[in-house]
Amino acid sequence: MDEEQKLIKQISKGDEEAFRRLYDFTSRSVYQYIYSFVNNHETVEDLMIETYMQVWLSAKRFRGDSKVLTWIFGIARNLTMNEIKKKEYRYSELTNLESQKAEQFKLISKNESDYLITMALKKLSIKHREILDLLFIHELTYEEVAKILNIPLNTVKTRIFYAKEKLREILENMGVNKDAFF
Amino acid sequence: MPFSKRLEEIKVILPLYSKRLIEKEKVKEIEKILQSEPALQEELKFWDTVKKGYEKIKSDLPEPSYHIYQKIIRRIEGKERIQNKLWNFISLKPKFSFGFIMFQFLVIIVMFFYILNLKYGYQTLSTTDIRAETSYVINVVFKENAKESDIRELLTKIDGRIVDGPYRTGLYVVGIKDKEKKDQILDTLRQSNIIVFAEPAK
Repeated sequence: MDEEQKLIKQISKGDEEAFRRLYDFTSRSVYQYIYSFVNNHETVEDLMIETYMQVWLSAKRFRGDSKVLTWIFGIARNLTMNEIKKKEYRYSELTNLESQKAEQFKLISKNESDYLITMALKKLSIKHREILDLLFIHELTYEEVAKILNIPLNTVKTRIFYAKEKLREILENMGVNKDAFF
Repeated sequence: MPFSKRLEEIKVILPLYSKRLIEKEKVKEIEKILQSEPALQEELKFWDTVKKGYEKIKSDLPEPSYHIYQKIIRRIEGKERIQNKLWNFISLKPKFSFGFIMFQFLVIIVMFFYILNLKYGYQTLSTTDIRAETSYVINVVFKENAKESDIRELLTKIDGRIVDGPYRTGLYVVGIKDKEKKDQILDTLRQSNIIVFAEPAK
């Protein structure tokens, strides 16, 4: 049993100190995970409160068949998706890149290439972006991603493949020369 | 496992390799294969670029402020306070608890008498003050699903009327005026599809 699972056990008995420690361990990742969906501090705060309320109330039901962070991400995701359904959030801040001319990106510096890939990632759909977020920001394995999204492992792999294809397409549409990056 | 299949498998886990989220043994294997596979090298370049993009995104992500924790705790305490108040109200207020028990007891008593007073039996189609001019009476039991209109129609047909009943067994006493036709009337009754039983009364 890892440290976080021990904390969950203590939380299930009403240990507030254990709850504070778990919050310290996990809140940054959870906050950033939610923020990547809604981009609005107030809403993220509300969803954080709801998420950790659920953690406090459902700690008894944690079965221990996944990492605690994976479990909390699952709770946060459900609440966030419900919120997104209620209000139409923009998943990411779209820039005016689309209006820029393709030729602008033919010759790009290192900083510009970072900027462009960042913009291209932000243009991905929720479905594709969230899977890459979980891998590259939160450093989760495919199995953990599958648990959070509640999808089979093979679907995770397929989704990553399509996310890659889509990302290539977006970069092409932005007029980015493939050689500039790869 | 065929080499081409192994290559496909490695291609699938390249994002994990790029983030070094796989075991050391697999890392070594991938590195070895990568040296001789330009297509895989190309794929890895793509994922390394994505990784760099995400490093930028991650560095721009905001941090949660600590007051969120205070809000969570206040919310939890608030919820628990409400639950405790409710529980205290029910468990620690003897007058309320006693009153609640008495109320339940009263409901049970009322229900008991209500059930006792429920009247079972059949609704009568006759009235108590009928003075039938009858010379002959027949005991009749109608089917449970017999319609009132059908019963009336049958009584008209035999020129009879209900002079008594119903009894608890569902028995009616039907009187007829014309004693001479008693056999014919009995046949009519017995052939009717709304009659269970028809026999001359003593």
